Amino acid sequence: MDVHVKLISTFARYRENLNNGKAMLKKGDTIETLAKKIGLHLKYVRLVFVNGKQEDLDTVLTGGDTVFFLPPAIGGG
Amino acid sequence: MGNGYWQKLLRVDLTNKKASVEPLEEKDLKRFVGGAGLAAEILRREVSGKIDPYSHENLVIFGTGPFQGPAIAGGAKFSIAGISPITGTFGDTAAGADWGPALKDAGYDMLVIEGASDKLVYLQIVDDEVEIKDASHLSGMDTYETIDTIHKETGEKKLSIACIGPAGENKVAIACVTVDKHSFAGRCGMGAVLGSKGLKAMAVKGTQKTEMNDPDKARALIKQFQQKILEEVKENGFREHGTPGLCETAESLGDMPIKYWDSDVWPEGAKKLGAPNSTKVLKAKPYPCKFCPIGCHRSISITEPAEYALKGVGPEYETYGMMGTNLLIDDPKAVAWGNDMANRLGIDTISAGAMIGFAMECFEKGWVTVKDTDGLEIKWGDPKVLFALLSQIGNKIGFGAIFSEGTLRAAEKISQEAVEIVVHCKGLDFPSHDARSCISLAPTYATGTRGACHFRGGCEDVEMGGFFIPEIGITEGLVKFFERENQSLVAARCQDYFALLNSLVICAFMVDGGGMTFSEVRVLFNAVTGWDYSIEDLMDAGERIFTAQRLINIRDGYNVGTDVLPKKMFQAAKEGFRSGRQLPFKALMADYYNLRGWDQNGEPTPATLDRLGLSV
Repeated sequence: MDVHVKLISTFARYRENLNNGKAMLKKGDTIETLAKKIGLHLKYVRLVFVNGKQEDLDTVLTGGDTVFFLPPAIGGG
Repeated sequence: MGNGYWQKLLRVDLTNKKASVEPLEEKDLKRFVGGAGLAAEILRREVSGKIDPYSHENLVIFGTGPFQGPAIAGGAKFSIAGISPITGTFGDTAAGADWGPALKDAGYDMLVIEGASDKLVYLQIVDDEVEIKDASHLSGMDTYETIDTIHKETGEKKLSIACIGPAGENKVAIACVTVDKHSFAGRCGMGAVLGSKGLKAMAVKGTQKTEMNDPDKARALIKQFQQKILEEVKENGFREHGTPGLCETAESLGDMPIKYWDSDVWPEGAKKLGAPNSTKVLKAKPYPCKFCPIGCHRSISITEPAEYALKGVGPEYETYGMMGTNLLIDDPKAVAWGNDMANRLGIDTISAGAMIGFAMECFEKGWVTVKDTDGLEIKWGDPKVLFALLSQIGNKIGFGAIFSEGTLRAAEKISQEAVEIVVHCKGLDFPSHDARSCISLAPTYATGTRGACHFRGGCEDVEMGGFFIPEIGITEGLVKFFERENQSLVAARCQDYFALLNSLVICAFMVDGGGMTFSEVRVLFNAVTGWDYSIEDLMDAGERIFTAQRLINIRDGYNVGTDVLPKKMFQAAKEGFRSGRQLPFKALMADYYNLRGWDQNGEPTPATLDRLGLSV
């Protein structure tokens, strides 16, 4: 199954690990599986939205989901 | 055996043109640490009652702490404090570059400026040689010219120079202090207070080193933390992109100001202004302060278009917010040009952006017209308006002169309706973080001892997942967006922690973004001072410092009645992440006062003052 993945800001460099903005997953795969597949360091994966709703890393994804990874805020000055 | 301090305060009396050295007692250093903490205590003792910030009674206090002597990551930092001309409250601001270590190496922990000179002067400090020099030839010069001229005429390229520009000389309330053409003590108008004292610049060089309690251990820790922070910021992108890396995240979460806090979403704008786009467009590189492995400041190079050609310091997140999305300007080159203008004029880019956003809204609503502005159409999104108003504000000319006492005073001259749209606390304009999104900012701003400031807490980064302090229970998942639980706890503890950091003095980015832990700050503090402080001891110091700053404000009439947020913060978003959310402000404040041990009037109870050793 395919999921749409949105990567912004300092995560933009991981877009090269996607296929036209999509990633292919197996049934039962979670956000954590997807993050690892893309190459994101889990330490920085704290803000994830699936179809607009904030979700935890162990959330199971389904085909067609849109997953939005935001880099956590640092250096707010 | 040393403790990282000289235990010396240099006092310069500009009225009588005298300099003297006074001892600092170790018990005061142990209680208030240094920097903004010790400065608050000096202000509390020496400035009695509400004063005109431009009167001779006001002081400008430059403060260092135990971390300015050794080459500590984040230690090239110093505080400047006094009574702020924007708020009338305690005011403090900080900058980096080389100046803090230079003052320390000259043999002083603190520099207190008192009185005022009848002619423009500058101060030159080289170890124990302190000279008050004529600065009439520097009058009207911008900050960069001032620094270049002092370097040239003294032949001392190694002087670190903090100075004011035309705005400070003109007593524009948002005047900043520019340091080494690199870093800027922006907020609270300390540049204007220096202008009122006739002090154009402070040029400092030192050749001495403070002794540490356990130098071998301290040096090993310093090396270890330098390496650790460098690895962290290479991995998380902070070194490559600096604070502009925050733009898209902040916009996505409704944290970034858009159209002077009236609009809720602008992803296209944030994308153009933020990293990686602006890093590429401006050829931005890290520009570190002394000893810093992060380099959050930006060194940029613009070659075209010709009107924006620029090589030097580039904008950071706050400026992309206040001069970018806030004004509906999405060109990073235009923001860079505005940023450079503000730096040279010597004005705070945050408040300057706020003033221009406010003016654009007034113009749109018809409260200000071309008759007021000599024909200038103050339209959203127009960089030419940004540049024109920056020049007018900084030089106190034309329509921009209306802002010389701050946005709130300008609004009062326009209309009551205009007063109601100003986004401020105690007169200090909001920075680029929205208290409706990260709601721990609501009590942080409302009770901020210098007014609305995110960087007297850093709690928004806790909410947005990038900053935790497990040693004091601030861990991932402690707070959730828009939910009241634990938000006031995060606000209060982060305020105390940052009060400590601003007194050590260490740049907060070492812990917020750089990955240095509170335990590491503690172990380094103990190696330098030999005081064997626990985390609790350090947090007590932070709380004592924050409370001492608040006591100045309470004495001067600020209390629960001024711990308020502006009207726009109660306007729910129509779209985006904050859509339909209402800020539970009263509940957050009740939680906060209770946690603090303050009464219903917002004043610390006698028991709280006793606990902190602040009873009269």
